[in-house]
Amino acid sequence: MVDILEAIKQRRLIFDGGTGTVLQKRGLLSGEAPEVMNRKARDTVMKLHLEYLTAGADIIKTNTFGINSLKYENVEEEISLAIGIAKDAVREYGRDAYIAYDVGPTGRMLKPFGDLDFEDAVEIYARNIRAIDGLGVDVILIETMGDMYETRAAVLAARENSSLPVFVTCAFGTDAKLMTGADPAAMVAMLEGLGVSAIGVNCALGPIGMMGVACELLKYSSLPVIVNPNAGLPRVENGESVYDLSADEFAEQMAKICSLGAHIVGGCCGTTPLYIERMRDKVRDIQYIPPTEKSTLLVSSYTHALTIGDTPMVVGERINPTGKPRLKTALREGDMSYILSLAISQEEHGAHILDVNVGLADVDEVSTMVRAVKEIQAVVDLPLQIDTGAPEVMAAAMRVYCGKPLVNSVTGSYESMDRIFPLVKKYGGAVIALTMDEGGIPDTCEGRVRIADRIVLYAQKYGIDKRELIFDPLALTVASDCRNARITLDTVKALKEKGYKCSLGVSNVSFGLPRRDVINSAFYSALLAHGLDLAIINPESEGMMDAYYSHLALSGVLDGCEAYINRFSDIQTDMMAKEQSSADNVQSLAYTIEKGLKDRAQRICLDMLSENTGMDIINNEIIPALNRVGELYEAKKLYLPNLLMSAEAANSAFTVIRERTPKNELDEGRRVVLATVKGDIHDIGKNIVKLVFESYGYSVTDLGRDVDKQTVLSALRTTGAHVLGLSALMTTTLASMEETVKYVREEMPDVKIMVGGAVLTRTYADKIGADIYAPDALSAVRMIEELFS
Amino acid sequence: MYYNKLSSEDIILDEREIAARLGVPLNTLTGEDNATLIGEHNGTLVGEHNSTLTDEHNTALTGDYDAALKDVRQAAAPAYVAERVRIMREGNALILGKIRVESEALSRASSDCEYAYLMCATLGIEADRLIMRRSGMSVAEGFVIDALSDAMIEGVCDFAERELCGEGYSSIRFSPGYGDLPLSVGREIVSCLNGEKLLGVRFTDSDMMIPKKTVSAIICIKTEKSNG
Repeated sequence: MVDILEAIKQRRLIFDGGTGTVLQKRGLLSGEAPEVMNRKARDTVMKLHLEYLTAGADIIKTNTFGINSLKYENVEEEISLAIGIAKDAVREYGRDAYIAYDVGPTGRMLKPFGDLDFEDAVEIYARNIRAIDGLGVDVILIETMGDMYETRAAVLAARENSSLPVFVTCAFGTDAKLMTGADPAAMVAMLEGLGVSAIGVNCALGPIGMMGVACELLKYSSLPVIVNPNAGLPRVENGESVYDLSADEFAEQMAKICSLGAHIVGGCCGTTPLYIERMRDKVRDIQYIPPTEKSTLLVSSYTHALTIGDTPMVVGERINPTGKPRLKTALREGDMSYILSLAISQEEHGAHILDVNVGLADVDEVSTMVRAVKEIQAVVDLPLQIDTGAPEVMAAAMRVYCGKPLVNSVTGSYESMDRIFPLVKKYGGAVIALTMDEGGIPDTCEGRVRIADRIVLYAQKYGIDKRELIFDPLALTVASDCRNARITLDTVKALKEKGYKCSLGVSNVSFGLPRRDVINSAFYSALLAHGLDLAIINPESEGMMDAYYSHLALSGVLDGCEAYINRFSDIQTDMMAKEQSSADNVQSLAYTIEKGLKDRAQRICLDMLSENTGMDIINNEIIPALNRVGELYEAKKLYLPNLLMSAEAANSAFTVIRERTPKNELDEGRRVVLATVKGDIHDIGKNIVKLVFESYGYSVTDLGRDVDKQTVLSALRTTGAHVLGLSALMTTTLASMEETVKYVREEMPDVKIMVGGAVLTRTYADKIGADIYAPDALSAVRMIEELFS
Repeated sequence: MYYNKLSSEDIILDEREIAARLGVPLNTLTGEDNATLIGEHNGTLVGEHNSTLTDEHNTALTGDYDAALKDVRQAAAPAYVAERVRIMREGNALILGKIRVESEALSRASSDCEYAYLMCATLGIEADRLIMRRSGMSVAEGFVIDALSDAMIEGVCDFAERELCGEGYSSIRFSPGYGDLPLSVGREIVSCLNGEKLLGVRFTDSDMMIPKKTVSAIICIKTEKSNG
């Protein structure tokens, strides 16, 4: 039999149709999973396979969609049984046909939105994939996926545990997005990177509803595209789902989809062997066009893809600790909210991609990078550029990245390429390739281009196409050699002429010069004129972004002028805000805290630090202001949102004080560890407690949500905190709180434990042995203040 | 079986609900003592404000609420599924279609009802993402967005209830976790409505629903539109 990947180069393949919806008509009870039929009614399942084969299906799906270790104990047996039925059907049919091992979603949501860990999801799928080893299926079909991250886990498991080709089809909705937001291009970018063999869409929609998604997939994918729709839209008649397209109508629409260029077609819910037969007859004479290699370079985030090479783009450089004390502190303390705020702020200032570098001598780079990537990708809709010199950090970050990242970077040295290219091959990614090697950075344009050519050739050995490479010709400061900028500009031009893409960290050009912003933006303009695709810059620098938007307006880019105009309509508002701020000095810090004006509080505090010590400001302004706010709150003259805004204003003042005061001058002894207990993923209440404690100057270690007791204990040990705060919002997680209290109590009897959360009562708190029951954040801080005094 | 995707602009938020979720008195939102419903037409949360707060505080906060509500509306993709079932009684248990429930509170509440709707409504995962994003930046902002999302999903449930039962309806909405109705019933409601597939609803090990702003409910119908 011809290998399935060879076959698809020659002709259109036909998938079978619905399984569950047909079995429901043949004895499967509603509410029962279709795979129970493998035991209950083996012949029925086999007959269905046979009918599909007779109807013209080239590929049949095993009846294994819902089998996984969350639902079945004997996964291996169940899977083997189902594959046996499919094989018997093919044998009885007597002609060649392919068997696809079919697997669907786990039914759980991955972290951070749900509680299933990414690696646990990989392991659930891995167990399934190991179970099919040696059983003679031809392809793995991962189908009806509604979440990009879970899809990634499934594909990784398949690729790591089997050499079979992997097909993936996702359930896009009427808005052409997955349940968790990804569009077709994002899916293509990630899945091509992961090395799957075909990409498609199934379920959720009928063929008409799928046309748009099919077109998008065909536009971006270099791989065969699968389209397996439902038999139209469902409606309920007499308690049963009925689909609105007849077999002939379905076939008619599928013919259109084949004309668009779909490579593998079949059906999903509501389709039967008759639908597949009619479809086969209808599409038989439609010309087949094999998949074609696309030349676009895509990178992607959780939800969407970006094409690199069309319009120049900005890579935000701010998440990089070099020369940034505040970020260094945040990284050391694991303060992800500061890193998130850098990410969000760069996004708001117009960055298209974010560089993430967390390398710091005394920080575990692997775990910090993984955590940063996970946190940023959950809330920021921009592709990330993973920036590290350590291959093991790169590997860990690429593994958990939900999409197709940029990889920063590889050099022309064989050692570097041998380390980075295998990762790119495995996880997918566009690579920033520096035009330097063991011999350093060549001081001529020709030398740098030669290295680029060598990298292209060597990447091919790893099966990485040149479209995946973006060359960084490197900028050295003009302060050391007047030719430096010229060489870089010439190299950009030469590389672009060869059809390569280019990226550059722009600001290196001005090391050692005064007013670096001036020369940086001039250099950036020149680079853009030479065709630079990506610039790693600070998107919050006005000069750089002025240069960027001016280029858009001047270079003939579609909508470039509009983008320029929009930028300046925004800036006017900014300037007005700045003028307003000049009236600040008439107000006191205490006033701004009481009123919850966080930016003003920070500016005033900064001014005050020139004449006052940090401790004085804390004792004379911040704490009294907070106390007054607290009194007003308790007297119900102010409310929770006001209290929180005041606390944030106080925090912003604390931040500048900490940055500018030697450590030993501040009282840092008051440490608190906070966590939402295992099993509970609510954290608003805990965040409020954290904020209020911080506003009173406590140093708070926030362990986040869904935290197990061991993590709590080890945090108490490493921080030396005397106070632990635990939060639980659900009755179902109170047991977990009790367990944590007991565990900590035994191991560290001196730690004071306070508990809070919507379902908690004082009685319950006493019962589980907590020291303090905190009905709200303010009383929590009051009680702890008393304890410390 | 009903499956409806709604425009978040059509959802009316009850100011009493918003005030309760934010933990502020009603008059800080409305500037008056009578509660009014706000919806697409005025689109704003505040009228004239007179309250015990200073003007500056008011401006900062009410400005935030308006902007925050706009963001919530933009992120939310409200949708619901529902199914009408006959209420059968079997000893202490109620049989609602495929679900069997033992709950005194529900039995009492539904004593004079013949039918009920099983219902599941959600704001979708983007609302969770918005809350997570804002909370990461600012606890105060995260709190406000979370509170408004709570009010929004209540609004979606009210909308669904009105649409299912008709104008001038009278019904009682009961959610798993209220009274003695076990939280685990939520799983059964979602499963028999096919909420996993249609709305993307998932459960955690501890029976929480994802997206977080998701409600499952049993709506006991007292009186309804005649064609219902």
